[in-house]
Amino acid sequence: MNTGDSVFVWISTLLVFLMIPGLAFFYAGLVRKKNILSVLMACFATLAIVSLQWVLFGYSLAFDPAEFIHGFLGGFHWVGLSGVLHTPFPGYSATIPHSSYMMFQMMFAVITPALIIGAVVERMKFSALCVFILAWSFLVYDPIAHWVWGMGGWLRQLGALDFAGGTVVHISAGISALAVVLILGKRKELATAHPCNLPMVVLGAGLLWLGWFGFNAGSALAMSDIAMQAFLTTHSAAAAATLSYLLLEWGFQKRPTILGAVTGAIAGLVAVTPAAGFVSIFAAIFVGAVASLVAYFMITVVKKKLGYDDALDVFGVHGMCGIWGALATGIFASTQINPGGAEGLLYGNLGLFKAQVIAVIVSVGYSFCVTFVLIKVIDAIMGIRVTEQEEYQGLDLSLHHEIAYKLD
Amino acid sequence: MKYIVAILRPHRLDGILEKIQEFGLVHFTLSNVMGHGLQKATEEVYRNVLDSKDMHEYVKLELAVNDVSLEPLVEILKTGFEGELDDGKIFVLELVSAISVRTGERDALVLG
Repeated sequence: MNTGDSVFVWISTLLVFLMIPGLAFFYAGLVRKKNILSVLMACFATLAIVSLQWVLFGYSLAFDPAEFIHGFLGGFHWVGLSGVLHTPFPGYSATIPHSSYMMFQMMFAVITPALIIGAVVERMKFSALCVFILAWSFLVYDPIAHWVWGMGGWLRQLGALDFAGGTVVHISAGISALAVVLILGKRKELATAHPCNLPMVVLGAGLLWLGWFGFNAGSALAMSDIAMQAFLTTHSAAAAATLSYLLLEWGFQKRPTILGAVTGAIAGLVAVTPAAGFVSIFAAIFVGAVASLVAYFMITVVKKKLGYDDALDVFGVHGMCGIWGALATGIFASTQINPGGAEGLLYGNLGLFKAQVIAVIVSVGYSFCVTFVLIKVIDAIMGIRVTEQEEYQGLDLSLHHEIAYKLD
Repeated sequence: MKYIVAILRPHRLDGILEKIQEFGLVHFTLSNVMGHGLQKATEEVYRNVLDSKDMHEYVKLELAVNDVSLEPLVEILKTGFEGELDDGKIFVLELVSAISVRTGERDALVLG
C-alpha cells in the first residue's frame, strides 16, 4: 500500500462527492423558483438511495470478479461489502485500500443517476423518481460499470477505453434521460420556463469543474504521471469548451451568455472524461472545443426540431458529448501518453476506434431500451407524472410542502 | 383638492422625492408597478430560448394635495422626463375627501 496514492484517491473521492451538491445547485438554479427544492431534494435523495444500494449490492454486482453472468454482471460475494477489506485488491488498485476504491466508485454510482434528474425536473413524481433511481442503479449502472471496468467485463476484454466514465456515466445517463422524457412528456407552460437563479447555476458549475479534477485525475488511482496528465487535459478541455461555446453564441446570437459559458464548460468536461488519461493536451483542447459545438447544435437545433423536453439538456450535453468523447478517445489515444492505453485512429490503429464504436452503440442501445421499459413499468404501477394542478402550483409546495424563498 | 398619480422611471425617483419634501409635502405613497407602453420589449435569452418582456418596471407615486399645490408639484414631477419613449405619465384626479386616521381631521387640514 502506498500512502501518497491512498491520500490522493481519498481526496479525489471527496472531490467527486462535492459534485453531487454542485450538480444539485447547477440544476436547481435552472428551474423556476417554485421547483427549486424539488430538484435539490431529488439529488439529495439520490445520494442516500444509491449510497446504500452500492454498499449493500451495487459494488458487488459491478466489481465482483466471480461473475454472476459471464462478462455481463459481477457476482454476489461482495454483497454488504463482505470481503472488501482495508488492504489493497490488486485486480483493481494495487496501492490503495480496497475499501477506498469502493468509496471512490460509489461517488460515480451516485452522480450518474443524479445527472438524469436534470431531464425530468418540474413534472416527475418524487416517489416514482426514487423507485426509478434505485431500479436504474441495479439494471443499468451496475451492469455497464461491470462491462467497462469490472474484471471479466466484456467491453474491457474487447479493449474499449474509458478513463473516467464517459460510457459508464455520461452516455448511460444522457441516453436514459432521453428515454425517460419521451414517456414523461413535456412540461406545461414550457414557453415561460426560464432559469430562476443563474448565480446558483454558476456556483454549481464551479463546484462541478473542481470536482471533475477528482473524477478524472483520481481515476488514475495513484498520484502518478497519468493522474497529472488527466488533471491537465481535464482543465484544458473545459477551458477550450467554455471559449468555444461563447464564440458560437457570439457568432450566431450576437450575445455571449454566462449560461452558455457554463454549459460549454460542462460539455468539455464530459467529452474529455473518457479520454483524460490517454490523450495529449492538444487533443484535449480539440475535444473540448468540438464538445461545445455538439452541445450547441443539440440545444439550439435538434431539441427545437424534434420537440422533446429534455429540460436541462442532459441528453444534449451528457449523452451526445459523452458519445463524442468516447469516439475521440478512439481517435486521439496514444501509448506515448499512457502505455497502459492503446493507439488511436490518428496513430494508424483502427482496432481501438472499432472497440469504441461498439462500446458506444451497445451502451446507447442498452441504456435506452432498459430505461424505456423500466419507466413504462413504473408508470403502469404508480404513475410517473404529477397532476396538472400540482405542476402549476410547483413541486416544492405540492409535493414537499415547502417553499424556497420567504423573502418579499 | 386633487389626487395626483404619477408613473415614473425608478431611477429618476430619488431627486423627485427630495424636491417634493423641499416643497413641503410630507405625505405620499409609493409602489413598484409594471407598465406597458410604446417602447421595445427587453429580450432575455437562456440556452437560445428567447424570453421577451414588454412589461417594464415603473414606480407609482400618489399624492393628495390642495388645489394651489398642484402646478408646482406637477413641475417637480416633470423633472423625471428624459426625452425617451414612455418616460412616464402624470394623472390628476378630483379628490372628494381626505380624513386623518389619527385625529379625524378633514380635507385642507390634512393635506399639504
